[in-house]
Amino acid sequence: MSIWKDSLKNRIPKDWAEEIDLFEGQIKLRKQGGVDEKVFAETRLRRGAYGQRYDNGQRYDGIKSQKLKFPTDLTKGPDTKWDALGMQRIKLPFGSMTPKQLEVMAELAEEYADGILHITTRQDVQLHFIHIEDTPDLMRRLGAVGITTREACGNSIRNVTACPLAGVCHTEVFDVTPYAHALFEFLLGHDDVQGFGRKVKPAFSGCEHEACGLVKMHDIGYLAQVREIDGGLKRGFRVYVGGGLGTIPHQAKVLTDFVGEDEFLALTQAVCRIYARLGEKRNRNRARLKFLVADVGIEEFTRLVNEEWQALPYDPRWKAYLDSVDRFDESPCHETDTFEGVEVEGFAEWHESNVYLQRQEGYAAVTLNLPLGDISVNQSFTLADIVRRFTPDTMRTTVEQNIVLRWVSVGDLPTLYQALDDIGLATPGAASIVDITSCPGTDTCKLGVSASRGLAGELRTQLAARNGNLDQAIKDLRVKVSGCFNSCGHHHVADIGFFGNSRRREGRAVPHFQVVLGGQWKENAGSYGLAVGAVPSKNAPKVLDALTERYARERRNDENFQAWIARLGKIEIKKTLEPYTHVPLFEQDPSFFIDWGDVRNFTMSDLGIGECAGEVVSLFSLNISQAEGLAFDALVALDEGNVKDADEKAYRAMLQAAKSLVLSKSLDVGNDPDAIVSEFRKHFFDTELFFDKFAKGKFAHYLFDRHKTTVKPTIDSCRHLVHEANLFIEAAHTCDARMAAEEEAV
Amino acid sequence: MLKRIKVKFPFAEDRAAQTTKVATTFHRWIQNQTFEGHLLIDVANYMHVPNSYNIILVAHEADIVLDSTDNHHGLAYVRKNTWTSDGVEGQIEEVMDYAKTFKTAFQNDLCMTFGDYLELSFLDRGLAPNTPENQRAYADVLRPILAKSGTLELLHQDPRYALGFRATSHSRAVDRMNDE
Ligand code: SF4
Repeated sequence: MSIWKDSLKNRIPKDWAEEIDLFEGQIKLRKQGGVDEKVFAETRLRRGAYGQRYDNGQRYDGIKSQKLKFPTDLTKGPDTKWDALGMQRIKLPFGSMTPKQLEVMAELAEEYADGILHITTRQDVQLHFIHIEDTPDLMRRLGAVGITTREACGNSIRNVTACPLAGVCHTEVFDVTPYAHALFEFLLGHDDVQGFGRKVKPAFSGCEHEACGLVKMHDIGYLAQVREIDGGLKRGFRVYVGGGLGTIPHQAKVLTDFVGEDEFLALTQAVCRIYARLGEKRNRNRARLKFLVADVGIEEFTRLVNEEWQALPYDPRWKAYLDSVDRFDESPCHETDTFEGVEVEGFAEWHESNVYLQRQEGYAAVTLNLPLGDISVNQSFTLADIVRRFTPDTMRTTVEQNIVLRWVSVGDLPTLYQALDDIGLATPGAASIVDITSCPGTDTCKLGVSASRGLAGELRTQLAARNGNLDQAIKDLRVKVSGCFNSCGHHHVADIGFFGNSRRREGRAVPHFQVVLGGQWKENAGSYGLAVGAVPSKNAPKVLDALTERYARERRNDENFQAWIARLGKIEIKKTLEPYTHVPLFEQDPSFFIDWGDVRNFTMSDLGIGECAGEVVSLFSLNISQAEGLAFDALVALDEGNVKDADEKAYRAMLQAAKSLVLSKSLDVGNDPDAIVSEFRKHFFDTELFFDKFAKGKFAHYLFDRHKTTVKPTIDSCRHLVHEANLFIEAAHTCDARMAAEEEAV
Repeated sequence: MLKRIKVKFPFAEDRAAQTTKVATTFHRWIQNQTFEGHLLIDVANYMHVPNSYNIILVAHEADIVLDSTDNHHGLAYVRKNTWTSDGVEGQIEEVMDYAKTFKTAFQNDLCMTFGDYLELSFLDRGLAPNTPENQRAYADVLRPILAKSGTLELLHQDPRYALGFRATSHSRAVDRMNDE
């Protein structure tokens, strides 16, 4: 047994521990060829274990495409080698983490990854270069400090994001933190979020006009509102649906102008059901919620959701969380104080850009401007100490790949600055043009075309060198870079965005970036930018300079960048880009054929198949694979002579297999064994759907008999039961296949 | 079996090696795949992160790292898996052997000189947490291998940091490695 499984067994929530054990069982089973690779891929994605570039066993080394000779030929997904290193996404609801959690993630980065914690544009943390077989222990260690990776990837509900200033912000209507947490808890592993055709990203915002929550670019967005109802003030949300970036960005539509805090979970559940039922499943390019909303229209979508909402069986959890909303209130760890006349070098510049004075007088929120969202193991340990010393033990990640410390007494700011500077975390320029967002791009993403991190790093270095001399209008701009059109780097909502593509010159591939101008970050990602032309990667920094300098020169009074771009018009913009579009011959300047941060000649041959959505695997396949995992674990327990455990697992395997079928008839079955057996009997036994041509209802009786037995298992009875569990699972597979064939015939 | 063991050879002068040169060298090593027992896969660049791994040659079996952790620069070899030896002593011998190969290649290709000490850390907080008992027990294991005639110092008292030691010169193994 793994040392972590044993030592942490009492520190991980029981259901989380079981899920991880189950996942570990599926890893073992897959190694023995017992789980289909597509099913295993979706299973690991739903646990946040993602593929990474070159995991198909091919890599261009600068001269030729090398076949990477991994020790085994086994795969962990279609075209994905078992031994290839992957990425682990760690879900941090609303970006919240404690010092202890940061320390554990740092330990994991050192022991299982490449020593770096990477903050993503959805407030997650990612660890790269991880072996799939290390993931169960990694998950246990996270589980022991209250973090789950469940549904961090895959076709399900992704991380719930929210403003990092929630609770301390001047413009918020109320603190959205408790609600973001309630949504996370409610939907985690919920049956209604398992049958999606693709991912669903939710976000919360405390106010309408700032950017932080970005609700209008999310699948489901919640904007805080207060209404006067029956003479009292009631909290709730304006709910947006169908937003999203991706190749074709969609602005979200208003589903309802107001839903009360006591109803928003139910409304969300109804949205999930409609999406699971009516959303596209086969064509993944049109499977996001935004397409469904666009196809049926917001009026019809709203009608469907309301109808579904009325029909939902009541769930006490819709309101139960309201009793503990106060537990998210934070208070400072120090009495506040002031400081005067600090002479520390760099402090003033840092204070101007990285310090936000909170609504609560005397306290500040401080942004750590992380380069490319990266932080090292040792920095993390020291940062954890700093957080304990200066704040009430919390911090938040941001969608701009930074970390925010809240409730810092303003009197502590000079000392805090010094402490952060000692570990290289006091870089000024947060939320300014130097604070560039970038997706992983060709560094690790299978879909990356150009080196977004390479370009972002180069732009950051060049801009930081002249930050002090930049015009304030330029400083305030946002720059965001994606490695391809998929927009993980949020290029659509930047003043100046770039996304990777490629062109050819004399038969050679040349890395390029498409320039996207005039997106709006404020107003919760109020509008999207337009692509105006591609330039070679090499020239992208010059293009940025040309645009920003011209803007500083020509802007009228307080004219913002979007207005200036609109006034300038496409023809003028094209003219500005024109001098930078030319690619010299390779012989004249080979540097154009090498991407930023790389030394190899550029290639498109490393492009793989993305796992952003995973394969669309049926609800049945996902659930039955868990049943198979349990049956396998039962066998292992039997081998170890652990009769009680083997009996329990074999029984649960049958329940899970029955549930896999029942879900096709009733999504509300839940996990109660009585309910599963009763629903199974009603839909599959009484109707004879589960019957075998020869054995008739025999396999179903295996489950019924075990369900009602009270006799203590013996080694023999247990051996039988394990055998029966496997037969039951086989029968479930046959039944599912039969139903699918009948459906097809119809 | 310990999960990961890291050996770091600090540079003689505490300055970063020229990063583009290092990255180019690592890429060339991948092209040639000349290191026996290692499938060299990719190069990761974190030069923008201080006190960290900066450039990593990622192999299936190990990471070879231009490392500025603890704010001093050096070359590190982190063995990750595919151990052939059993027991702590065996694992240490094995990691030292491999580390030596990469150190020599680095020295030859990049003309870097190394200091007169090395650091060895056990990146496994499950089996080798940084506790006072382990600090004593692992020092006892390491002394005959690394520091018979030299000194062995603990890298970090803080239990969050991996258990690790610095072996200074006059130790047989350190001298032997620096001679080669
Ligand atoms: S935008 Fe493209 S390159 Fe960047 S992470 Fe997303 S899929 Fe990968």
